[in-house]
Amino acid sequence: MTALIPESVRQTILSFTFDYRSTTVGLVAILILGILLIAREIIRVHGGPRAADRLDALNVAIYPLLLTFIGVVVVRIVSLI
Amino acid sequence: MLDQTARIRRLQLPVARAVASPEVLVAASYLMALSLAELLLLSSGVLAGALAHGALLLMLIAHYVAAPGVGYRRLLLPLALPSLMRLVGLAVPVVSTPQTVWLVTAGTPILVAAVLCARAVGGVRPSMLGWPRDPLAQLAVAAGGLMHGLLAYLVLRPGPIIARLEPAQVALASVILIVFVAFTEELIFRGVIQSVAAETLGGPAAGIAVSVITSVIVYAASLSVPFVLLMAAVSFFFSWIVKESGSLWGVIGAHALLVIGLLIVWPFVIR
Repeated sequence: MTALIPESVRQTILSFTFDYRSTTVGLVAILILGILLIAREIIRVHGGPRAADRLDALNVAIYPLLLTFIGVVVVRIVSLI
Repeated sequence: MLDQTARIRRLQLPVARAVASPEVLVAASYLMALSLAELLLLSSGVLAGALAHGALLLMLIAHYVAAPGVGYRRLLLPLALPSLMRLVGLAVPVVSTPQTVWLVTAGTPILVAAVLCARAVGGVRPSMLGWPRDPLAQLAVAAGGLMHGLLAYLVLRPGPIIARLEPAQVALASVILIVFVAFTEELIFRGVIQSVAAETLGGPAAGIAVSVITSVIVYAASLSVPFVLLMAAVSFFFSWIVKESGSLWGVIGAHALLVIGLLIVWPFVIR
């Protein structure tokens, strides 16, 4: 029992197959990653005095979601092979 | 009588101003939104929960990016961490059941997020993770984690996260719990959220309040009222220790012993 994955969340996750989770929750995570990457590119192109600070803020969510995305895609490909 | 009323008004005014300040209202609103997202996750399923946490995450980041001049800005990014934690936890690409694998796959992105957030908002002072001023006091705080773990186990009675009480399994699971649970969660709740809330909301009491409330919201998913109350008390104690000592090591040690006891040792010792 941790704040990271509480028991009720673990049980909820276990009640669904990975296929279902990767096409629902995984998709939500990937969509959010896409939105953040677009925002990152817009901020990077427009620049401005506070661009670096804003990019740092976006990176807080982008890198963890990117790691999750890589994990979801790798496991999905492995399960298809 | 009039004199007394005027005196009461004079006393109430700063409190009312502090409570109604934009910083407190914004923090309270986002904490309520976080509670709602957790409630949706527990009542309506993983997709609704993921959408709610995802929307809150985007809202907090957009607010941070779009509001450069406001006083509460630095608090917005740390408040996004619990939603990110839940979103990553739900999307974790695990097909097998060993909980240690879950903790590593979900914990790695969250540890990265906590470090990046601490760097972005400058919440964690170097002294918090440096050599503590009073190492013996920190050791004493850490040792208290044994008792916290026993209490938590007696309240919640979870199953062990390892199959057998073998040295190799215990050592590996302990390292995982120390890095991805104790260190990561303390860095988020006491290191980043508490420090930044104290600085932006005007005092250490506000920092402790925000840190404890956030911890309680994420622990509410245990669906056990006694456990949530215990974790609220433990969170308050940890926050107070960090405020007084200025170091995270004692509470990281205590949190580590708490989870090692709760998820590895006590389930085998007390049946």
